[in-house]
Amino acid sequence: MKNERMRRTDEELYRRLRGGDKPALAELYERHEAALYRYALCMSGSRSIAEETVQEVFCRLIAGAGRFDERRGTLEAWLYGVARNLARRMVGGGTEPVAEAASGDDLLGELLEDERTVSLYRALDELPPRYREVVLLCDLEERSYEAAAKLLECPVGTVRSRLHRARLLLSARLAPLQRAGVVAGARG
Amino acid sequence: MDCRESISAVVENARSGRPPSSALRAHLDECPRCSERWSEERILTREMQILADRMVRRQSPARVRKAIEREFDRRRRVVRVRRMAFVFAAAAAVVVAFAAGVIWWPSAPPTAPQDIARTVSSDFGADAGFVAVPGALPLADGEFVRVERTELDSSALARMGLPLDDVDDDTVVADVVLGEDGLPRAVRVDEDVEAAN
Repeated sequence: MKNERMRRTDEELYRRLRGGDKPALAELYERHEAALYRYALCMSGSRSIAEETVQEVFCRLIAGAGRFDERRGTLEAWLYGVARNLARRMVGGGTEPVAEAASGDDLLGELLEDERTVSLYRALDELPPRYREVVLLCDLEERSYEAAAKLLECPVGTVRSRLHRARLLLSARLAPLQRAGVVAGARG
Repeated sequence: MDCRESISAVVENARSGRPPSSALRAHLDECPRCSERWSEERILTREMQILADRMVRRQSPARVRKAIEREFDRRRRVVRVRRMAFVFAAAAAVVVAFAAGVIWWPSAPPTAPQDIARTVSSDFGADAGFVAVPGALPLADGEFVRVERTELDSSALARMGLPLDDVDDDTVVADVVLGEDGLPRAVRVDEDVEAAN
C-alpha cells in the first residue's frame, strides 16, 4: 500500500483529492508542505506569513480556486506559483521590499545562536526576491537548475544567471564580515 | 580559459564541491581576481550548507495541518449536502412529473387529422357513408356528437370528394356530424334527397 502511494504522481493525487480522497491530501501535504513553508519563510522572513501561506495554498488546492491545469505545468509549480503570489501579497502587495516589510524577523531570532548563519541569512534577506528564490531552491533546497526553472516557470539559463548573480552579491555582502573574522572564511 | 568562462566554472565547481579542472586551475594561478572569487565561492558554499542544514528541519506547525484538514472536511460536507439536495430535487421532479402524467395524460393518444375518417367511421359504422371534413380536429374519446341535417353548398361538397355528379342544384341536403365544440367533423349526403332532386 505504501509503495503504491509512493508511485503516484502529484497529478494523480490531485485528481483523487478532487474526488474527495482525504489520504491523497495527506500525501500531497507530506510531500510539499515543508519545502513550501521554507520557501514562504525565506521569501517573507516571517513565520506567521509562512504558516498562513502554506495553509492558504492547500486550502486553494482543496477548493479548486484558480484551478490547477495539468496541461499548463506540474502541480508542484502551481503550488509554488500560488505560494509566491500569496507571500508577496502578504508581505506588501508585491511592491514593498521583502526585507523591510517582514516584521519581527522570526527566523532570524531563531538563528541568533549561530552568528555565521545570521550573517548569511541577513545577506540573503537583503537580496531582491528573484535572486533570493533561486538561492533558496538551488542552494538551500538543492534542486537542479531544470527543476527550479520548472517551479519558477522561466528558462534554465535565467535560473543559472540569477544564481550566479545572487552568489556574487552574497559574497560581496559577506566579504567585510569575513575580513572581520565573523564568518567561516576568515577562521579557516 | 578567460575570466568569463572561469567565473561560471568557479561557481559550479564550488557549488558541487568538485576540484577545479587543470584549465581552470591554470587560470586561477595567473588571475588574482578569479582566484579570490574561487575562495569566496567556496566559503559561501560552506555557509550555505550550514544554513540549509538549519532550515531543512523547518516545517509548519501541526495546527496548520489541522486547519487544512478541517477545511477539507468542511468542503466535503458542503459537497455532500449539495449532492444530496440535487438528488432529492431530481427525485422530486420525477415524482411530480409522474403525478402530472397520471393526472393529465389522456387515456388514448390524440388522433392525427388524417385519421378523422377512420375515427368518424368507427363511431358511426364503416358503412355509415360519412366523409371526414378535411382539416377538422379529431373527436376526443367519449366526446358527444350530434348529427344535423342541413343544406350545404354542392361545390364545397364536391371539393370534399363526394360524388355529386348528378346534382344540378347549388345546394344539397346533407347530414353533418358536429362535435361538442359545434364544429363539423364529417358529412354524409342524403342519397334519397339527392336522388329525389
